[in-house]
Amino acid sequence: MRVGNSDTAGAFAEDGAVSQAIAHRMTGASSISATDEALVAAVTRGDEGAIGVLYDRYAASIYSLALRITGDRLTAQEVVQDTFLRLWKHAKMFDRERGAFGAWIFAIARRRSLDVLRSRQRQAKIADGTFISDGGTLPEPSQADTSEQIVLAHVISQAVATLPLAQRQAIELAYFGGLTQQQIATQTGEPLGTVKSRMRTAMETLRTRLHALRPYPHHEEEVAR
Amino acid sequence: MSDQPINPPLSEMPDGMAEAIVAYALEALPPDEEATVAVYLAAHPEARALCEEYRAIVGMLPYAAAPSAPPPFLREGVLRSIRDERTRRRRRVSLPRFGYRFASAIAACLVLGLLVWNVGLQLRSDHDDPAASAASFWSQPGLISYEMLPAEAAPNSTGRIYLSPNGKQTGFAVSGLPILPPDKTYQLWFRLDDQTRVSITTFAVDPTGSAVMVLPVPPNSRSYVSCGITEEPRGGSPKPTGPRVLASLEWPAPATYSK
Repeated sequence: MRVGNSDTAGAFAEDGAVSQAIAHRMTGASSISATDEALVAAVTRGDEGAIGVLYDRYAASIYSLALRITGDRLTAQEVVQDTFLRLWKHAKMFDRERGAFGAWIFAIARRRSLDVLRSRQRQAKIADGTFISDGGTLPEPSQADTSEQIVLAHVISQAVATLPLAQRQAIELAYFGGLTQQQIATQTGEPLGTVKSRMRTAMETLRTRLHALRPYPHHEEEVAR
Repeated sequence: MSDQPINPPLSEMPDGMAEAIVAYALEALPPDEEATVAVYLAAHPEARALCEEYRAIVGMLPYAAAPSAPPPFLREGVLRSIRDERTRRRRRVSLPRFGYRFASAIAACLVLGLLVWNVGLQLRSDHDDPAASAASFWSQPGLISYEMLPAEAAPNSTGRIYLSPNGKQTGFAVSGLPILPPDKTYQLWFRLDDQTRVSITTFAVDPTGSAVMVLPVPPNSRSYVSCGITEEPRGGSPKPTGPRVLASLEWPAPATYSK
């Protein structure tokens, strides 16, 4: 599998083999392992082995997300532990029709991380500007990474990194910083309308660049209904 | 998979709604605006489809964080905590029968007492100005919100619960709920950390399947840890009896009523 430099994430995503591999990863489909959905179903039946496999698939990404948000390794570990404990207790609430398992468990981890962040009032770090990533670097694989995960991380981080700085800042402050549009406007000193416009433009750009990776294309059917 | 992103009629959206939907997908709106967008999405499938696309993108953003590997010992710690949780559950299940009966009797008394208290609170709140109360609720700083997830009885529904920092008020916004026959109602419950369910209110949805309300939370010395909405007979029930339509996960920070 090719993992290397590309001009844009969009171009990278156009690579058929790569996007197919990524689509497989995001839906959990694999010829050699169970889908995420099958594993979650097994977790609802009390299968500890299944949660171990999900841990191997997602713990590194959840840990990275929590570390990015909280900036603290011990807290990030607590978030990982808490997230998987929640998965164990509430697996039956996952609904595949509403989106990929990854998006679901990441949302749980993100909210938990933001709760911790807010409770510790660490917004000063964001205000310093140290929160914004340098972006654009090829991720170093962690022990649990699969080749598809590396590619996925590469494509998405490139797509985000190649956004204009102000747009990327708006998206990152909202997602990783948990700030509202108004709070972002206050922090950056930009008019609220500018922040809104930047966020929308950034999201539209990502939507176009990452379109090939969307795992659940049933929106047209929903509109038709 | 289609070749191109769908192109909903953005021009038909109210001014600022497209930007608000982006922020909604990123959870970057204050609660009052979030509730407005939720109601709009409930009534506009093309906007909801667009929002789902944005949410799919948001679901990929964790991969943009610089990758770090958790320490190897964490895996065993996680699995151990799950085994501990499983053991605790089994102990709860294997309580002697008389223990259950005693606990049930206590719980029934509590539920009855709380129900009476809640009705009293609601009657008393009728004398307040609900519009002013709702406005001040949505605009207060530190409002906490949690997503409610759809259950089988209403798979297309969405919901969000809001809690005031002092635990005395709650608000919610739901959408996509089926309109119930006249002999049925929706009922919102809070669950205490001892598993007791406390009725918060009964409500109906508007023709689009949406509802937004602000309500007092019954005082309790225990902490509220999650919430859910069920279908119940008209007038409500002292405890949940009908199918669940929406429920939150256990809240990371239990809500405690402060005096």
